[in-house]
Amino acid sequence: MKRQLPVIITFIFAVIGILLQISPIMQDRFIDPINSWIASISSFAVIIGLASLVRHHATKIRRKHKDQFFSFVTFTALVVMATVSIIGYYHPNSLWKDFADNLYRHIMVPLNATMFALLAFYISSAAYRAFRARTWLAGTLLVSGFIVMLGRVAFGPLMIFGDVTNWLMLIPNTAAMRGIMIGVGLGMVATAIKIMLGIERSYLGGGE
Amino acid sequence: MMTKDKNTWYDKLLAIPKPVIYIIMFFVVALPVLFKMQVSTYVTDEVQRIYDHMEQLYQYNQENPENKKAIFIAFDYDPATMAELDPMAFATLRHAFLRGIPVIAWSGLPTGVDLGEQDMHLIAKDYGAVYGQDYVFLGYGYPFVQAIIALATDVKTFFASDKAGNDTRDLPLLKNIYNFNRIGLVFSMSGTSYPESWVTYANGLYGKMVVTGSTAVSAAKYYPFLQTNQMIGLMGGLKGAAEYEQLVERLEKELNGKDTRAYMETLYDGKDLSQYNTAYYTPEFTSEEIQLSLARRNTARQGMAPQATAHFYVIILIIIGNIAYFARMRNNKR
Repeated sequence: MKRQLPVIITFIFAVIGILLQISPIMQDRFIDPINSWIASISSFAVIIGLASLVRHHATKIRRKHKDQFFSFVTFTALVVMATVSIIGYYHPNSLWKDFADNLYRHIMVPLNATMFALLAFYISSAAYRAFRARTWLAGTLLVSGFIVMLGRVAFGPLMIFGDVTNWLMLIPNTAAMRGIMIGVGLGMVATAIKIMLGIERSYLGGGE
Repeated sequence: MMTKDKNTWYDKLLAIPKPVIYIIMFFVVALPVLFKMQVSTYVTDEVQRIYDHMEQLYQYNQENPENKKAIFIAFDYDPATMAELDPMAFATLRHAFLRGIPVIAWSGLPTGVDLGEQDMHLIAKDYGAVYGQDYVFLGYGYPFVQAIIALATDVKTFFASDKAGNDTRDLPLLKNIYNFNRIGLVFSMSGTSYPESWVTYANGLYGKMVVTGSTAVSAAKYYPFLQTNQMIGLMGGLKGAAEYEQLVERLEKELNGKDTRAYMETLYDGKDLSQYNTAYYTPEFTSEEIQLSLARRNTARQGMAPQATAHFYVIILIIIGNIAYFARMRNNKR
């Protein structure tokens, strides 16, 4: 029963989900309550995520893992950011609100932006060391990449690359992407049916 | 035993250390920024279509002043991709506020909520838009899909309060415009796959016109949606933002005159300032704020300059790397 009950619940709610999509009457009547249900249940995902994060890092600290320093940093960031932001939200004209805004603007934003900016350096190194026309396929990729990079910043006499880039994106790229998306879509439908019918049960855990 | 001669030109080239490549990249990006170089770009069809649809929406609102339609902006990005996506948000908001098109927005990412809110107030201030009447920022749209579906009936049932803590039932804008019926265009700006969800639900289920602003690396996957009109426009990376920025700048000069500084200096003269809540922005400009605001109008085009030099640098690296590689291969065959 421990394994059958979740499968039955999954099946019932999957059928409700399908009916909601295909029946306008069902949509009119039940879309808002179902939406509220899902929103409430999803809120628990935040709690589970938080509990999982705390347990993971607490274990690291307890076992004196060599990287326990980073777990302390995570805990500090979690507690400080959450506390300051919650107090700041309820006291919008206080120093807490300013502190929360500053934590976001002057710590969170630069850290996050820096991580993405590092891509420029990785790409330059990868372009130099790994981007080789070893085969004709690799050569095609290289020439396409070459044209698109020029096309994206085209001006004056380089405008021909802009036109070729547009063609590359609109025709070959669209064709290839559509193929990939149809494949992914069919895979998603197949997996959804397997989960709905209880054939795929790995989401229940337990290694079966 | 054959020994390899490591002093050949191609071996030396292939052995250029990583730090050297990185340092050159740093200067290649930093110098155009320091010298405030700016690059104009050509306008592609997919960006022009967004602009044209916004203008059509403006025309509709002119003809139906009692039944105005709004645009919906989803700030589905975080600071990691703000360099590419913020300029798109700025240009879109400028266009909307210039044309008096109401704006409703949220962020689908927790780390993007403050960013979206900040952007809206910044640009609203440039045009004297009033919070609650001309624009509303709802906050964090979570769970994402349910938040989209809530727009089909009444978004107020899902968002009891906006980001600032106001009861959404008290906001004048949301009294009239609260679902897809009065939303003319949906913008999703994201470096994630969120725009696909907007296509699936907002377009697929409710037939709404969806526009995407994405990072350059993600743009490729949205082209199939363009061909099927599931997306009516696409701004890809900084280039897309720069294109829109150019179009909006032309419109702004047409409507507000060529001297934008003068327009800003006199924007709040003679206006009833009591309608502005200073919790969102103060209805006056310091000279520093005007300077920053004028600079913000060129963010994408200024970003295009380091992007162009970085692209050229990467192309040069690829060419050098391949020449050296093939020279070594040829020599090894001998």
